[in-house]
Amino acid sequence: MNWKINPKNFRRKIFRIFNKKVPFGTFLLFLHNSFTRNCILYIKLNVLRESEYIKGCLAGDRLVQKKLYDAYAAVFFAIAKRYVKSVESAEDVLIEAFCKIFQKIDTYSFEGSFEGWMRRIVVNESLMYLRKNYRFHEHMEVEMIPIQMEDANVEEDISAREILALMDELPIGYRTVFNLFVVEGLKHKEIAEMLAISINTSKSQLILAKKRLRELYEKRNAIQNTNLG
Amino acid sequence: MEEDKLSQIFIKKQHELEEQPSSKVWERIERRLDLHALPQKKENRPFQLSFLYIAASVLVLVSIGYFAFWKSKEESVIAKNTSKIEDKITDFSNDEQFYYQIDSAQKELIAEVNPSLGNNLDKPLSAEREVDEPLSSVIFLASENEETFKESGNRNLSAPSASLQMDRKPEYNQPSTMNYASPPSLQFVEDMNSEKESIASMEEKSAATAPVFKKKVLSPNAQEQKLCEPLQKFHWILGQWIDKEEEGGQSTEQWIITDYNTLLCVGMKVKSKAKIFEDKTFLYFDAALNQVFLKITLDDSRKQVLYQLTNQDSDRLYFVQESDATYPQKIIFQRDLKGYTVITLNEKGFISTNVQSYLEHRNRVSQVRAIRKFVPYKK
Repeated sequence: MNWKINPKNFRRKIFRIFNKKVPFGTFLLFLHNSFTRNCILYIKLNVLRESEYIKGCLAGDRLVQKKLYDAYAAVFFAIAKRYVKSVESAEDVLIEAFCKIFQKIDTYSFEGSFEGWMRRIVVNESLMYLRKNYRFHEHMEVEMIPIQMEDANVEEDISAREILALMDELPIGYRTVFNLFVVEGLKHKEIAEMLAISINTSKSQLILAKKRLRELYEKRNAIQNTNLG
Repeated sequence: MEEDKLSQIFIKKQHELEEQPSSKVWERIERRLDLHALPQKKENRPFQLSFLYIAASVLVLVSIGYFAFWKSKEESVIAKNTSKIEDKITDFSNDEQFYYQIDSAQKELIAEVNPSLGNNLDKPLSAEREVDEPLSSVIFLASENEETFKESGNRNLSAPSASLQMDRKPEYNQPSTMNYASPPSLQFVEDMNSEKESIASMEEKSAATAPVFKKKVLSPNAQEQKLCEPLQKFHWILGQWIDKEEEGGQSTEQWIITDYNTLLCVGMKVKSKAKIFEDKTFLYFDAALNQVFLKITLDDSRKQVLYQLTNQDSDRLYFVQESDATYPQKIIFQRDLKGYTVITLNEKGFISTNVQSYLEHRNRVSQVRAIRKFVPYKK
């Protein structure tokens, strides 16, 4: 690292250049300048732009890879947790996803944002993990589209963590479609392709998921009220 | 499609779920990456390294080849042989010096008898021929004290027989008149000396890096070593001989005197300028048994086989052994007009594989005999 400067050496160097004693004030000024410059450099190095991440990862630079991980691990961990129930399996998904990102970075074609590309990989890895034990097309073939229920009164103070706890009680198929449609913002056609199910199944699963989620919410509220009462 | 409220809240608050996973996750990722990275490195490295290795090894091989083969081309294989024999001869001269040294106690004794001699004793005999005369008188004096005197030149003899031997020793007979094959010894030695000098000068010119060991030049007088009487009938054999008619190359033999009662023969087989076989034969007179023996190493086991001279006439010398049936029974030296023939006879037809390979090198012509026909070596 070039920006790491040993002040002792610097004073000697300056002494060599001018061949006379350098006033201490000048030296302090120089130190101050170098310090501020180093701070800026440090910030720049820690928060890299996307292109720098891609460049470093393509070269296999372990430091850049670590920085990319530090920057995105939390976001991707949250995504994985939405799809996979336990923390351990979410971590497994995260590891798989990051390894794929680092190894397949040369396939990134610069269409769309880099973060979006990485997100897609994490979602795909989550689905792959689920597919190991769960076959979507076997469990979810429901052609009947249920009637949509009216919106319930939901208090704003419910946290995302609480909603996630409710979602954990949903069947895997419901939760996956809900995640893909609501949070990821995919269309039913895309979801149907991804999970190898029909579009109607996807639609019905989403409605059922929302219905079940509201029921669960109301149940939870009731329990809370009885506890309070 | 509008979302219900619960979904909206979840979308809005999904960032709350973000939290750093445990530090183990990165360690596991790193381990996975290292595992995947290893084969890629292996693909790249060996090629680059091997290129360097090949370049370096070629350089080393070429330099070794230059020093080992190019230089040795100039030296003939026979020249190497003579240098070995020379070493042997110089060793002998050292031995002579050693055995002529006299104990300090004996010096005192001599000084008492003849004070004028005492100073000359420190000089070894071989250094100056002038010492010969006074020393003979010393020997005469010392022979009165037989027990304390050390016999010179002959280690094998016990004290009583030494006195017997001494009467014969100083005399040196000219080669017998039977020697109609002209002894090539002196001529050969001179030739080899000139050749060696030329090689030495060439080496000095070419490279001053390696130290050149100057060997003692063999003087013509060295051939006139004294030989005990039973071996004097072998004087004709001294020198360099060659057998050009062999199938598997050329055999050479060089006979020299190494000791008062020992002749050494260094035999070699050369095929296309490369030495493929070498052996040493000793022809010596055992004074205790009063017999002449031929001592040969016939195989790789380094076991030396003794052949006793049993029968001799004007043409042939018969060396016989019957102690070990796995070795040839007879070795016959047969003289003719040009040179001599060595016949190795295996009458019982029962020999070990090692001896068989030896006989192959010795121009085996049939199951029972190997014949080599030697003529004087001329350059």
